[in-house]
Amino acid sequence: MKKYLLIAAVVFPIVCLFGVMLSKQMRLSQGSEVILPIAGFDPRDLLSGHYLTYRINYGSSPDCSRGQEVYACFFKASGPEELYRARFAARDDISGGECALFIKGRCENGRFTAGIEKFYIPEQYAAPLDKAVRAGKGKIVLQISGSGSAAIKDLLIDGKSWREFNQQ
Amino acid sequence: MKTQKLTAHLADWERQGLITPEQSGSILAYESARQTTPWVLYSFVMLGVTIIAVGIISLVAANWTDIAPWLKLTADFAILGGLAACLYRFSDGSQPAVFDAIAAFFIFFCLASIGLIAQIYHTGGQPYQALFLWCGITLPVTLFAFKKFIPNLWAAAVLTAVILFCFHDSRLGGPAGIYRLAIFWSLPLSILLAGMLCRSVRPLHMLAGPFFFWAGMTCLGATVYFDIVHSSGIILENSAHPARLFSYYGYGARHEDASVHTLYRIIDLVTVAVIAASIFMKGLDKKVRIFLCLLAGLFCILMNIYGIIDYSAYPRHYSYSGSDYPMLLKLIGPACCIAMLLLASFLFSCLNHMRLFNTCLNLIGLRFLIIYFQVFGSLATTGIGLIVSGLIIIGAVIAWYKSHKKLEAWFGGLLG
Repeated sequence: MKKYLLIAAVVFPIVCLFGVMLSKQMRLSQGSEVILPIAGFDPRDLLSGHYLTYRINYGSSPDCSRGQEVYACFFKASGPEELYRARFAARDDISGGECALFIKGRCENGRFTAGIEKFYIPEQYAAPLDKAVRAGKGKIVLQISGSGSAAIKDLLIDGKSWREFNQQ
Repeated sequence: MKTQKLTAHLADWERQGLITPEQSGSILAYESARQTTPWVLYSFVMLGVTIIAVGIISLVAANWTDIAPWLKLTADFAILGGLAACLYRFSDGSQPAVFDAIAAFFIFFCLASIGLIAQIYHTGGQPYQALFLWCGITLPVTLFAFKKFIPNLWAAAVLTAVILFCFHDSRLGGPAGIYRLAIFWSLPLSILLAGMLCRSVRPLHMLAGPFFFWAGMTCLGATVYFDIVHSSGIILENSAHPARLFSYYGYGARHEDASVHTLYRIIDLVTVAVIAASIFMKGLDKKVRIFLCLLAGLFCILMNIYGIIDYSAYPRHYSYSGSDYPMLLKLIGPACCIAMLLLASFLFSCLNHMRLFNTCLNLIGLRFLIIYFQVFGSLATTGIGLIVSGLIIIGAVIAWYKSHKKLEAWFGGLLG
């Protein structure tokens, strides 16, 4: 009996981690792609290493109180670039079906946050990427599902993937 | 060392005629044959495992972008699977130190895996979320540990996650802030309650000791902080200090602020739960129950004191050391600190933890000395004050020894 319990105990974390990985992977492979301009800098976290943290330029700011649940409804901006912009709305406005592409987030310090404000990068590329993002050359590629959850797909610098940018 | 002590004891008992030389020989033979735990080796192995694990986490954090994500994840899960198989292989208990070392490595590797997944999928979560996930998924493995290292690690990780959660949003206020503050203020009692629950539930037994340890440490920390904030006059003199939060919430409590009332009621609720657990938990000595209840009650008063005393009645420019500050308020901090330490020392005495008992007594002595320097200033008054304090302590101890049976019976009656 104890052997079976031990097997369950060691399999449990592996299954949980696999589940987390799978849900992230599914989020990344479903839904629509959205590109948004960003501005930010690079701190470091002890567990996962260097990352860029940035403010996404949604084109507008939400009018909300701290901690309030807000929805960002996306629409394609007019212009040469394939960029998206967002208007912010409450849940009721989203559920009416007027918004096909949206993400759920919260209001923090007068800003909209949706857990998509970090992009992990290798330490050796941190400085040039940080410089490029600070210079306003960065854009973030998101994959947004129909249920309003978003996953980060790529970081673009001058319209190219950050990997290509670093190879130049 | 242990055998030397035992040999000396056996020789003494033989001389006193309590045991025969044959019995002495049998006891020695039995103790020598018994497999003793090489705790020094165990500790160094665990230290090594911890350092290796931190190194692996750092390697993962280095972000090897040239390796494809699927390959990194496959390697990660393969290593986790291999470690799980090793754990199963050593689960018969023949080599507990090896099992614990692999289990510790497995647990640390789970943390590294969380970091790797966060890195590959760019998850924007907070560190406390990663720690909570880690603690949640590794709890079952923790319960299979043979020795205390892994349960201690787990309890420390839970505590860190809770504290990070409480301080996640530095601007306290609003309903969410109140709950975070309530969790933080009642942390020592909550950990004590967790320890009691673990002690009562057989599979969680291993976690009781670490929780009790952290309950003691956080309780001591909270008491010392309360004392410093109070007796240094920080509340009144420095409006920018975080301690002003205490008086702010105290003000809210007296002025019928609903959210502040929620804060105090949560603390009261945790206190009631600790008192109930102290009364109903099985296998506790009556004295231990009494001192646990008294400690929880006093801690609750300590946390509620800002709602009881109106500090706003004293202008901020009043000097704490000046004569215009009431003596009673000057003494609240040290009095509460000494009372907590006194109750803790009684509790440790009942639990036969002589070293902890002596530590508490030394701290009480130290606090008495500091009081007189803080409050009175001159050496003559300090000397007289200390002599009077010493006499009061000796008198109280004599009175306790003369009437402790009556008092115990009275408290026993209260607890049923």
